[in-house]
This record gives sequence, C-alpha cells and structure tokens, in this order.
Amino acid sequence: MTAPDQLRRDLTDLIPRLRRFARVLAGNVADADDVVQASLEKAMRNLDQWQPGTRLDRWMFTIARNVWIDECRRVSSRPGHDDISELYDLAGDDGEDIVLRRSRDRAIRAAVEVLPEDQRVLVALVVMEGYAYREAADMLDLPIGTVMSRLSRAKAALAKHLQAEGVAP
Amino acid sequence: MTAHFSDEDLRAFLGGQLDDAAMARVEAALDADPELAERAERLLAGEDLDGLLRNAYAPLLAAPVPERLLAALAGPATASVTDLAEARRQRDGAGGGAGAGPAGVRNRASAWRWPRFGALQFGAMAASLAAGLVLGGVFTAGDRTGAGDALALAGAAGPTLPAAVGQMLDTAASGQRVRLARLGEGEVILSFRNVDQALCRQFSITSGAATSDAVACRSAEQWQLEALGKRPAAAGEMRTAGGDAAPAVIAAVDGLIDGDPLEAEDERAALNAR
Repeated sequence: MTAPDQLRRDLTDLIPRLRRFARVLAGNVADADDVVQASLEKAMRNLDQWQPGTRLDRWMFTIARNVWIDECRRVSSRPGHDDISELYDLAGDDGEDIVLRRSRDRAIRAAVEVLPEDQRVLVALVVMEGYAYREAADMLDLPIGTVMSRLSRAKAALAKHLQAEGVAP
Repeated sequence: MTAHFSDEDLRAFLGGQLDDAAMARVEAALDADPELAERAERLLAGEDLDGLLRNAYAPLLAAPVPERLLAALAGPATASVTDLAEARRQRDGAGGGAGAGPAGVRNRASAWRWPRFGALQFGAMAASLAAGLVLGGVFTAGDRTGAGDALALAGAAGPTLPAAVGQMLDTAASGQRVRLARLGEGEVILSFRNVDQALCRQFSITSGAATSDAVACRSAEQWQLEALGKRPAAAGEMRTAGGDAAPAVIAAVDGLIDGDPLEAEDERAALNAR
C-alpha cells in the first residue's frame, strides 16, 4: 500500500472520533460534519506538514480545532434540536430503561452545550478523546495548570447541572 | 516558598470547589511542578462523570460515516497526470461543472486542487513525472550538461522562483519575449484565475536546446510554482498558445483554471493591479 493510501486509511479510521469531537464543539451533527469535512480537506492539502512517525491523531485534532476557530465557529445556522437522539438503535432494548437512559444522555449533552467554549474543547480532548492533560496543553498551546483548572471548572459545572436535573454522577 | 497540597486539596481543586484565589494558587503550582500535576491527574482517574459524558456521545461514535466525509479524503494527495482525466470525469459527472466548453476550457465550481508541491512526493507521482516535475531540490534551466542556473529553488514551503522570473510574471504581457539573465529567453503564454481567484500564469524559458514550461500562481507575497516540465525547444518561431508545452504543465493548467484564460485587457488590468 502506498504512503498516501495508508494515510487515507488512518484518517478514515479517525472520522468517528473527529465527528464526536466536532459535535462537542459545534452543538449539532450537521455543523460538526462541516468542521470534519473542512478539516479532512485541509489535512489532505497539507499532508507534507505532517511528519511520518508522529501522532496523526494529535495533528488531525489540532487541525479540527483550528478549523472550528478559523472557519466554522459562529451562530449555528441549524440551531436547537438534539440530533444524536436520532442515532440510537431502537432494536432489542428494554423499553423503560432506554427511555430513562436517553433522557439522561440528552440532559448531559445539553449541559455540555452551555459550557463556555474553552471548557468544551477540553471536555472533548481530555474526557472524550482521553488525551493526557500534558497532551491537551501542547495541542492547544496552553499551560498545563490552565488546562486542569478549566477542566475542573467544567466538571464542577456539569456535576452541579446534572444533580439539579436529578441525573447522578 | 513551595506550598504542599494534600490529596484533599487537589480533589477540591479538581472538583472546582475552591474559591478563585485558592484555584489560582493551585493552578500556578501545577504549572510549576510536574510531579504535582501528575498526582492531580491520577486522582481524576475513574471519575464517574467521565463515563457518563462519553456514553452521552457514544451513538455518534458508532454511527456510519457520511459519504461526504469519505469523499473529503478522496482528493488530491496522489493526483497524478494520468488520474486527472478520471478526477475530472468524476467531478463533472457529479454535476460539479458545465463540462468542456468552447476551445476545451471549462467553468466549474469545484473544490478540486492541484496538490502543493510537498504532497507530490508521495507514491505514484514520482514515477510518472520523473521526466518533468521537480520533487524538491534544484531544477536547472537549459540542458543538463550546460551551466544553466536554477529555475526552481527548494524552499521551506516548496519551490520558489528566481527574482527575474517573478519580475517577468509581474510585468510581461502574454506573448512578449523577455531576456532573463543566465536563464535564457522567457515568455509568458497565458494568464488565468484559479478557483481561489488568484492570478496564475503559464510560461516557458528556453535556453539552448531545451525549454522549461511552468505554471505559477500569485499568493500575497510571491509566485508559487504549481508545475514544471521540460521538453526540447520548439523549432522556429511558431508556438501555439500553451499547446506545445510539457504535458504535466498542460495538465496543471487544466486542473487549476477557473473559467477561461484572461483576455489581453483583463490580463493587463490584473498585472497593473499590484
């Protein structure tokens, strides 16, 4: 397999994670997919800037973050509805339990969406993607203490919001 | 003075439960002390909230990938001269353009791009274009045994052009012959706009028995080389507009052009506009 084909494969594998990352930033799937599309196109135009042997995922998430900031961040043209609900698979689930779980998940996403953007991006990188604080700090060019305090504020706000809604942590 | 923070302190910080002044103190300490930062990170392991957050977005992770995102990866990194016809067929077939119009030029609203020079280093490109395009390094005008100076100089962001060539591209009308010191005789063949509406020009430089053809597009600061090719110099004075140039260069013009080449007065206006 040639080098670009392997890269395309690796980038394809990243798409679901990129969609999730962009969804946390953008608040709806359609805008998120705009971010991901623009990010993938930008990556393809700038492949010479990625060093083989270094982390492709970090490079890609950094691009997505920059694309969000530079091109896509604006009042959404598609406000309001929680489109992730539509992605649940209905088949074979216990009726009452699934309704409760979906309701809880909706509440969680709504709580994330009201976080300030600089906290949301850290929730996306550290909680969703599992990057270490040090890695997130490098990717966002922030001091590690800032990363940790922003994230801790985010979690406090989320916990408080969810407790008020009757959703445990 | 080094403050010592207990696990309790760190938990309180991580839970956002300290007042602003205390938060600031711990934040500064975390910046300064990598060991403390490590401790703080370990304390957060196994936090329930994390699991809930991940679950809330899990359906998106499991969902099938939309076609348009896969299509975003089907683009230029391995576009070669032989693939251009296929790429054009796919693009025009998908309704991206009006197809071939008069004289073979076409209008399109496509986002297809000729790759930046660096990307050309991959794969099949190297084999099919070994005779023409330069892949980094220095490409000399004139024949190999001659003392021709470098036409394209390897730069950090890709090949750059010598100042005299840039000067010609900035000022010379298409069809006008220009003497370039140490490089040979230059001539701009045609000018056009790419999909970003940047000004691009196809030109050639003849020295001795060989002619180098090239296409460059103007960015804010300088002319960026998009393609380069070489062929034996045309016999006599007759050259059709762009028709005899090296295939890689013809293909590049075809891939870049948005609309038709500029007419003389539009070209003049474009050159005067800077």
